[in-house]
Amino acid sequence: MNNEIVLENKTFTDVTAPKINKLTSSRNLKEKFIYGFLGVCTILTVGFLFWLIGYILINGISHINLELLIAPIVTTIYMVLIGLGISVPIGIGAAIYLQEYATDGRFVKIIRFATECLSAVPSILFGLFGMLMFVTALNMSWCLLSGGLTVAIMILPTIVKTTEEALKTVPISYREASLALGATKIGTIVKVILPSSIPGILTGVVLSIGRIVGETAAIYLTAGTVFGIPNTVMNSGRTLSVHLYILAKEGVSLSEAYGTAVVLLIVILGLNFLSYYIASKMKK
Amino acid sequence: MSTIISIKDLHFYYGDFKALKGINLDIFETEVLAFIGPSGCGKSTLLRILNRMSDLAPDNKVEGSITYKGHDIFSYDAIELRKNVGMVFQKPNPFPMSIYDNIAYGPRMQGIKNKGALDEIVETSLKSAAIWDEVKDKLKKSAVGVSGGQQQRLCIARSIAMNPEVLLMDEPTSALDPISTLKIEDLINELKQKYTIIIVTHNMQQAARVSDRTAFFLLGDLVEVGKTDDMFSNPQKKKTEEYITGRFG
Amino acid sequence: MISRVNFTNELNSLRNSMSEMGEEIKILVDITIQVLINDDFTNIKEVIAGEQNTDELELHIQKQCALLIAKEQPLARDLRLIISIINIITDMERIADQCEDICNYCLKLKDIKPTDNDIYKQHINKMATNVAKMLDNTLLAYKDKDVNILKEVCEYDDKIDAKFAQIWAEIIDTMRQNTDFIIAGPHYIMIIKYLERIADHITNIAEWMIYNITGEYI
Repeated sequence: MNNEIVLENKTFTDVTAPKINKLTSSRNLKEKFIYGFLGVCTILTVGFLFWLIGYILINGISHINLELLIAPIVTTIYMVLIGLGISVPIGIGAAIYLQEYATDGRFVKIIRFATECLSAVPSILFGLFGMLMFVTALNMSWCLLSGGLTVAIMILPTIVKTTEEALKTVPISYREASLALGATKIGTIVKVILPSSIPGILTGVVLSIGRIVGETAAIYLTAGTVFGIPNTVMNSGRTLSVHLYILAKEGVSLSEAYGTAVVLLIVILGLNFLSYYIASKMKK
Repeated sequence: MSTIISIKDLHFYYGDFKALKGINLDIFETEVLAFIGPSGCGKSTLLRILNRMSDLAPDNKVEGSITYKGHDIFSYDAIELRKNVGMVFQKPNPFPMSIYDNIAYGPRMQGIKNKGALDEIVETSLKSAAIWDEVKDKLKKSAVGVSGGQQQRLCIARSIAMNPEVLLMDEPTSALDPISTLKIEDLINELKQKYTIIIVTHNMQQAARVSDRTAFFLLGDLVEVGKTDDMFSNPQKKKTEEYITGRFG
Repeated sequence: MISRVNFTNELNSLRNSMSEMGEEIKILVDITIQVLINDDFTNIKEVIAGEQNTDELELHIQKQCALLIAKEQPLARDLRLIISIINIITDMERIADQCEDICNYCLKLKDIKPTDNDIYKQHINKMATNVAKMLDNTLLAYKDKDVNILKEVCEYDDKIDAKFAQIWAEIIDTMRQNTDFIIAGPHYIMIIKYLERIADHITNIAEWMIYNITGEYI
């Protein structure tokens, strides 16, 4: 079959190509120019990316001091766990309500608009809010919990949005099949709809992890900068990004900053690959 | 033959659109009843009212009465009703889980947790749906991985696992190849020993092959209902004759 | 795996009904020949009852065929089977009619008590036995799906036709010579005409059987 189709295509171009060339030679030139321009754009984009990665790797790879980085890495992991632990259940719950229960009224439109706005707010504003709310008003001072709550609010729109999208892709036929078997609505959601939207939700979670790991401003303002492994959530701590910021800004050691940057880069790239992997698995 | 479902003066509206205009129909125990008619005639609508899948859209409105074994289905608990009146859909729709979990889904929802009891339900359901031999070695494999025809028979087995009395089939073979279609038809022939089957089909020949009685719908009216043998060799109404001989319109 | 279980069962029952009708016809032909050869009228009521029975069988099978065509959309060999059965049962029913007709003429001959009929009687008896053998062969060959024998049956019809012409001429001759025979003669002519027609119907049956088995029209 395939061979036949290819053959047909060949004869088609062979017969008609010369005519088209005569008629459109000037247009062809223009098209070639645009092709060239677009090609240069692509090369520039990819070039910058590799330049950046290469530059950081070359400058940092020999300065990775894992012993010094253990504290920031552990703090980062804590921060991710607290942020997700708060945000994922709330976000999924909200998404289920919006997608499965709420009828498309004015109220739901306002909620959707609000979540969209929330995701467009710059992170420094979340930091400011977190500092005023948790650190000062609730008197929790700079600690992991303040930071965790702040990043939780920050990633909430992402979680809600991706979960909603994932729920939307679950075919209506699954819902019908489940209901037709005498299942309740909540039973259908728990046993059929959520399990089949897990890949989509995971993609959102991985993206959120990336945001937490890469976040500086919001965490700097709420979790403080104390170096060391925090003992409780009420202790201050410094994540990798904050660590990098302080190293670079205060000029402690630029080479160590590069080393930290390499680790950060590896973590972020790894997370990106993971989210691609999950997304591609979901499509199957 | 005793009546299992009785429909009296049923009107149905999608918003402002009147989809069914006063349907009167008795459905008997362990018969195969086929609904035929052109698109938009209301046959699928009626089928979906019978297990109250029509409840799902908020704009729908029903007038008239349907009784299932003497009880009004609209005052019945919809979930209870659906346990007794199972449904098989147009496109095979197994859940993206293992074959075993698909069949055990309904019983588990009813609270059956005992492994032995579930095993038995899964086996008898798959056997009743004539697919046990084909899948018994891959019960733990994904149900989405088998062929379309097998998926549809799995869906039938999944409905049987609830031990219903009535099976509603909404164009169950329209997404299948001819051989799979014939297998499903053989299965229907087998299942009618135990279940009342109501099948909506676009394929008149299918209605002729599988059903005991046929009901012909047109623009929301039930034009004619009668023995399939008579309907396809000597229909009483002119409209029916025109439709089944392909001289419609 | 057997598919279309219902349809397969219906086709089998149709085949059985046709075989049953074939057996019925065979009995009718045998009784008729007894009446003709031995003037044995003891079973003559069975011919009349049998003729009615075949009428009913024909109607029943015809209805079954129409329903199967309406409901199951038979194709290829299934279609050929149904088409051939519809045609075969028509011929079988005609054979039963002609058996009855032959018996009626035999009854009339019994009253006439013709003389000087030994020679034609022998020829007619031979013709009748041959026709009966044709029917036996046809029914047997169908059971074994033996197309060659069925083709032989078709060819044998020409011999029966020739025999008919020969006996016809002999009867006319006798009528010329012996005026007493003028009343009995036409009865015998009718009888051999019916025998010849039965042979034609058997040939038709054999042809439809060949069509059923191979799909070729003879």
